[in-house]
Amino acid sequence: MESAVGFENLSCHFGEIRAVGNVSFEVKKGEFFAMLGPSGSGKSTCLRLIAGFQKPTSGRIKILGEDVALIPPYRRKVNIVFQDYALFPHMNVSENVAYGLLIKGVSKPDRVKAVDQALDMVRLSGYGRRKPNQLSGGQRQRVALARALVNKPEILLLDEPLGALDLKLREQMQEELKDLHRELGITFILVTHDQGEAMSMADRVAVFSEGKIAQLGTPENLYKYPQSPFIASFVGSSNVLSPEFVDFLTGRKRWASLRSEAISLVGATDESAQVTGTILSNIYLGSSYRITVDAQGQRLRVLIPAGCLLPVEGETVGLSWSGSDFHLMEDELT
Amino acid sequence: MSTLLSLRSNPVLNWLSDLFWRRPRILLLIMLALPVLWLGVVYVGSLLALLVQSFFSIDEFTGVIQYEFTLKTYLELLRPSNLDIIIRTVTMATVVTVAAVVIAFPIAYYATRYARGKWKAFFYIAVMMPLWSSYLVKVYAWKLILAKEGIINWIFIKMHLTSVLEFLLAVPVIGGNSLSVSYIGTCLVFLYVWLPFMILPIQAALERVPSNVIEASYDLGATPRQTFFRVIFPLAMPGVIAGSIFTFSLTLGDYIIPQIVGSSRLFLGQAVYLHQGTAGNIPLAAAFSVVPIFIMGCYLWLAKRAGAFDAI
Repeated sequence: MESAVGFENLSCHFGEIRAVGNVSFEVKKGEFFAMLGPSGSGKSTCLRLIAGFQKPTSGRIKILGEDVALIPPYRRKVNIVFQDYALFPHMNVSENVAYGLLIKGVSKPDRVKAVDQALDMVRLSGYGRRKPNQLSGGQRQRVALARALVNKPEILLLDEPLGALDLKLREQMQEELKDLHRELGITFILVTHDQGEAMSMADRVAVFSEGKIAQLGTPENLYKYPQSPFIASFVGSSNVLSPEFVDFLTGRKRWASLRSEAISLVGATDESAQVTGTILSNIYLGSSYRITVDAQGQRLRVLIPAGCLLPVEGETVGLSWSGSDFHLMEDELT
Repeated sequence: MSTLLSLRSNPVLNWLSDLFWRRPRILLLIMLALPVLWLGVVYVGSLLALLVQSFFSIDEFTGVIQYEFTLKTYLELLRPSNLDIIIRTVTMATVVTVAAVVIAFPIAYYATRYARGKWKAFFYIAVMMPLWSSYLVKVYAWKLILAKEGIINWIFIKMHLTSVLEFLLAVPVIGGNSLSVSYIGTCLVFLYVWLPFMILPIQAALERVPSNVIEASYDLGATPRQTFFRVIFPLAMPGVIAGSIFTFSLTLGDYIIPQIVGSSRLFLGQAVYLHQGTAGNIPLAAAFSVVPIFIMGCYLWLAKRAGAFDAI
């Protein structure tokens, strides 16, 4: 498949501080790509490098096969949706959406038609005359989306686009974005610190940590086979097993991960029990209980469906899981 | 009871602070009473007195003020010699304001977008420092700078550009014998003295333009030039208007600069000064002072209609 964006050994420094260090990856055309990581991990800098707001210190960026290091942002065929939307406060919704077309010199009738279409697409028809400060957060978000999409970009950049929305709206917008991506067939690159958002929306996820990509893969891949304790704890609700505990279980001193829902509770003397532990607490989560168990000094979280027989605090239980769910990480210990 | 309440030792203070907490409006009233009285009586009151005076007239033979309502004084403003003064002052104020915007904008823009730390402090000091010395000192200093024996003339001579200066001074109306007795000189001094009042509001307005709005404009294909005219300038407009209110109205009212630097022809402020002083024509002086108020009112109304305050 053709490449939409390619980073080759790219570094970006701000004075003494290294924001991005020697990163290489490729985003395929038409892909929904997510850059996930805690704040300060370099993911936003990567997005700004693609948009052209930041210049790389070394390395190359290619957009649609072309080296763009010396191309200013206003000549790139990418559009961005900013975290806080960055709508023009002195223009109404229609003028905001029409801005890119106006700059390109599109005639007024064509502009009006395209703006109407774009507002329709984000379900904001009839809001054209409002000013940005008369809109709710979700509406502003959709105006920003329309303002970017009306230019028919090859690549759409989304910088924490849902960060400022409340949970319900965020979930709704996640679905809408996913639908839009399917409909338009263009490349989406999403930056987020919310692992749930990245995992549920993206085809592939790059997890950033301290200016580098810690792991890149499909959501399922990341979830099941984390390569480091950082990924395991950041990406899912996996239990990160300490080398000492893994040594006790398998005789190999390495980190491992074990998903909470893959563990089942059995009797302490049951022969399927891999290890026994003491119940520390159980917390009701609605559809399930989250039980914390202490086994050989390792804390394990176990999810069991509501309605099952609940163990009480202090009780000794056996823990069992299938070998395929127990994932040894590649990182050897130093 | 005493276990629940934590009280200070002074019962009066306790009672007072509780009262203010329960009825915050009382505190507000106490704090505002004095300034409101000052504004109401001394400021607005004297302005109204001025307005009333402008509707009286003066008896041309006896020179006695007639306390009867009439528009005669205002009609007098329209006499060619008086109208001349108004047009001259308004033109000067307009030129000074436009020039101030042109000079102040890049300085303010630099200070907002590029200056950091030490340079920002330097910017503020550099802009404010002229305001620390006496206005009269500055104006007299300028008179010397602009005089025939002054440094500007000297520089032109040393650079063998005397002909350029002579050409400038030969232009009718704005020219004169030397810079210090020409309108060019008056304009330069006005510009120098009022410039901080233009730079600071523009800088404050630019400071409030978020950088991601500018990036959004680039992202949507606008070149730096297009971004400036379509996004940055409109968003800085409230600052430009605020600054122009200062430069425009200060120029309209000033009577010292045109007296020291420039031709002997009168400006509005000088006319007011003359009529209320030696001439004793208080009604006409009052009518003259209503002119800047009226012009500023029109200016603000037009600016509002043009959408200059939409970005606020």
